[in-house]
Amino acid sequence: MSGTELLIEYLTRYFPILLFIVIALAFGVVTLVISYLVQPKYPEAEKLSAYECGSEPFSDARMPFPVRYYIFAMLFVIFDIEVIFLYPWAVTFYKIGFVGLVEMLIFIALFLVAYVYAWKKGALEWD
Amino acid sequence: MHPLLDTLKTKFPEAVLAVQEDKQRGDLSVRVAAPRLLEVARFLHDDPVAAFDHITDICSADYPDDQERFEVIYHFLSLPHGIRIRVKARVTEEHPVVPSITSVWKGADFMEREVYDLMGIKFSGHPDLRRILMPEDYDEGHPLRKDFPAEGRGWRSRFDFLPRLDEAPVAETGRDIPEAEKRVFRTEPQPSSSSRRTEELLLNMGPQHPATHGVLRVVLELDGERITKATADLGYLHRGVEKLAEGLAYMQIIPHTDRLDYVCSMTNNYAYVRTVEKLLGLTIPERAEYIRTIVAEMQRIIGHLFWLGTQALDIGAMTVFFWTFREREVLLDLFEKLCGARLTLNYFRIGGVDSDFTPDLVERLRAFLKDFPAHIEEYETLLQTNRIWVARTKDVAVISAEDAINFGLTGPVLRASGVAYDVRKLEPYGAYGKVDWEVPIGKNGDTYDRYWVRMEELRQSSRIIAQCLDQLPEGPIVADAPKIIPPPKAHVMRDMESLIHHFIIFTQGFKPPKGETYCATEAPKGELGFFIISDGSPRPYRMKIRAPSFVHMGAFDHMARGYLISDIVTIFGTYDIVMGECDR
Amino acid sequence: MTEVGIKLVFSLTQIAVVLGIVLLTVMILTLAERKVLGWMQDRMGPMEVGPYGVLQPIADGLKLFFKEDIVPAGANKFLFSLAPILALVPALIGFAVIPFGPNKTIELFGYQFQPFVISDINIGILYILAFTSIGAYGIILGGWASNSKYSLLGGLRSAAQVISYELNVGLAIVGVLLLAGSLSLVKITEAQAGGFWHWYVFAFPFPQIFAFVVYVISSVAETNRLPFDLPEAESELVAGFFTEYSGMRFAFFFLAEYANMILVSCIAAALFLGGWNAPYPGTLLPESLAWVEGVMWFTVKVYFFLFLFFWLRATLPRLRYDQLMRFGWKVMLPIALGNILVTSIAAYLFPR
Repeated sequence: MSGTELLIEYLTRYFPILLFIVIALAFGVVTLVISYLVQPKYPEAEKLSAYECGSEPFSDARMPFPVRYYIFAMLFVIFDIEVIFLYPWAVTFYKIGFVGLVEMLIFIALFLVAYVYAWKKGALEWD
Repeated sequence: MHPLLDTLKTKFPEAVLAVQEDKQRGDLSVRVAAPRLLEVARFLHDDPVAAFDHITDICSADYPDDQERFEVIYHFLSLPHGIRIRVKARVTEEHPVVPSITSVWKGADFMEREVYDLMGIKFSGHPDLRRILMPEDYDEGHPLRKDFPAEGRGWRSRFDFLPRLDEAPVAETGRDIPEAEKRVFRTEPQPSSSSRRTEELLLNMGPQHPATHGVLRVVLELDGERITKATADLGYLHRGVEKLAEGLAYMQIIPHTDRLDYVCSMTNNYAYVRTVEKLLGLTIPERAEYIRTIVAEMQRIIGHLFWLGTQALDIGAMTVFFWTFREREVLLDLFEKLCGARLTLNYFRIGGVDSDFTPDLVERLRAFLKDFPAHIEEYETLLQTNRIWVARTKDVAVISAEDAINFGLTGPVLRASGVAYDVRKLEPYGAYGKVDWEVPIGKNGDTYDRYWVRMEELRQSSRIIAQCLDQLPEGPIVADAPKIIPPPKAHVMRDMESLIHHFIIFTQGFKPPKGETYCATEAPKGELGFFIISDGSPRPYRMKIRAPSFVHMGAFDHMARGYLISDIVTIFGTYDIVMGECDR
Repeated sequence: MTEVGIKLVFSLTQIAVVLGIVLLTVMILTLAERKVLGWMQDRMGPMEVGPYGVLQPIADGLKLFFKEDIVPAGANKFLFSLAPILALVPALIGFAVIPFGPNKTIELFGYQFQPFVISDINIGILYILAFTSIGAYGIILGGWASNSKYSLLGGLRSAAQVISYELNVGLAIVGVLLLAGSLSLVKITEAQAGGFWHWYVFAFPFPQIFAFVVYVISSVAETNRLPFDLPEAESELVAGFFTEYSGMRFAFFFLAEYANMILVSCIAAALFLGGWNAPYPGTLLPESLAWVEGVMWFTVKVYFFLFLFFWLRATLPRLRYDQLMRFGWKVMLPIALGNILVTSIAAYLFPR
């Protein structure tokens, strides 16, 4: 296949997806807009106040939150990238044979080292 | 005289002003000088002869004409000896200060705050003496004082903390809360660690929150996701039942007790009428005693089913909730058949009960008891061995036996910690002494044990009902005391004497003898006690309700500290609190 | 008509049909969930709107559509409106690569079309994973924009939970990809043809049963359903990240949750249970009608998973947050990793 044909092939394959994304977005926006136009609007101070179980908020809700969440987000990013590396290997597994298997075993071993380190450090504990 | 009273008299010749034993009602009471109270209290708690390890209640009375106007009344219970004692101390209006006993009984914390709030007596040495039931900025005085009008001080708009209806609402959403208001919910400042401050967070739960079981507010201080302090803010449902009772004849108070623990109004009725009967020295016909026991145990089943459903729902098991309500419905139908009401029953009468069991009702109750054990097992299949349920409840909100006693906890919450205290066994009333049943005891005092104890109590209750139904004697259902109990309507129409009694009772009410008494009843939530002071008039001079939910809330901070924020709903649920009773 | 025009019209029709089916399924699900839960709990479920309450979803939808949409005073208006769309759109567009029926081509006006998949791209599963990750942004933005502590905590928790379990989803499917040698859902499904013993959950040389269990549990967690519904655990965080939402924006989060449920069910059916393939070799119906059988089997499998969601909800209590994270990171992840190791070695020893 020449470059142009490949491009056309990709376009015909991915164009419906782009179309779907646009339609889904349009569905979301249009529904919200129509709903906005037909709904009643009676704003009131009490109604617009943030929910705090019926009493007044002590402080701004955009408060500092536990660093735990950040640690888990970091762990996710690290491990997810490693998982992404597994995909092309898995798909071509039968083509790359023994070398591929060993290489990936080494990779997974490295993955495990990081995982065990995180476990031992208590990074996987929530509290 | 009781040997304990002798010991007290010889041990504290100056502090103990008077002792009294009420042989007829079995009450011991001691009057002590207010400044020496702590000494006597410590002796009562520590000395093995006395061993009053359990604090039942603190209450207060106002005698405006006396020189020492206020009286603070303490009720203690000795679990090892199984006796109760009443300690009283008088203070003047000019100097209303009593030493705090929170250093001896931790449970005194909330009770003393309540006395301070409602009567204005100060407790020296109390760690956190603030209003508890009334709003914190309430400056109208102390409601239980006799010079505070029962009907309130007039017009709604004169209370500036209530929103005015005739003015436009002020936008307050962006208002900053002054530091002083925040401070009451914060732990003592810890100047050393600055890093701690950054993760600290105040989270407000309630009064409008799906898991707080009514209008309870708790301010949680969090370190990350851990609770470092949980401050309960009560009183959103305070209706002043005790104050109202002072203006009502004894009979008229029964419907008000329905609204205390509105999930279990039968046992509230029971606790109240028993106290009045104890005051009057009235004996109840046997059939009435059995019927009372049966309905009280039915109510216990209803209460525990309600608790089980809501606790399971809080933890996410919604099916249990609907299943328990299915069975609860059957029992409510029986109540409806019995007295016409389902929730606020008003079924008990002073001297008996309102209506008799019919054979049809007995039959339906027996049919229910036949299926019920299978239903209990049905709930257990969903929970008992479910690993998520076990993980959510084991080792959560642990309270040791010593702490539980020291906080004055009662009922299943106390028994789950391994203390076999049940009023039905200690001071048998009704038909409890005549049937065969056991008191289930937990071991670890955690949420799982409390769950287990209540599940066992469901079984025991159905055992008690079944035996009572078998033994149910024939006979009248109200006592024969024409001066106290209104005659049947049929007699009133025909018999002159009955008409006169009827007229007197309904226009004036009956007059119990001068005196005071405390009477405890085992409600599903714990020990529900009424303390009534009678001055010989047809209305109680002072009525104090010892509400288990209120006492249990006193231990809330202790039990919640150190657990995760997700556990807080489990802890709410495990108490089985009802705010109607807690706030009164 | 030009080639582009015909293809455009065909794609538009397909998208409209798929979108319609998904939204209809969501409506059916909201009713089915309440009915199924009701029957499991000894009650009737909705009974008032229409015969046996069948019109309840329409009534709910209309109500939400015409309801006042409240934006809290302190909220960031733009993000607050963006968040529901950001949650909904990824859940919908995932369906672009799902094969609903046999991989056939039909000829229309001289051009070839695949009727049962909008687009058979060769990175299908990667595309879905990539886009569903965006859904987490909707949740966390919605929680942050609301300016309420409950929303913020709910949003954070939800985001942390979704990403933790997404990792397990990603690991669980590696074994399947390895056996199929493709990322295209159509090819993966085709490779499982010829009876239920060819489905990857049972397949030689190494059944992906562990991966299947990890995938199902993780997808329940990813869609925030019981027993992993902590972000919206109503008893502690009220309604989690959508506490402050109302009206149509609230409905969008709701739609997104249910669309996600359908999506993960479709993926589970396609990856592990053979997609449109019948549990027996070949088809019973004649060649021209074989697609009916395929679509039916696919539907049955998807609804089996959806029923599983309801069943779990009726049976289990909710995990605590620390237990949930521990379970994901310390139990699910090692199993998924071990599965990859064993599968790869088994596949090497017994090549196709």
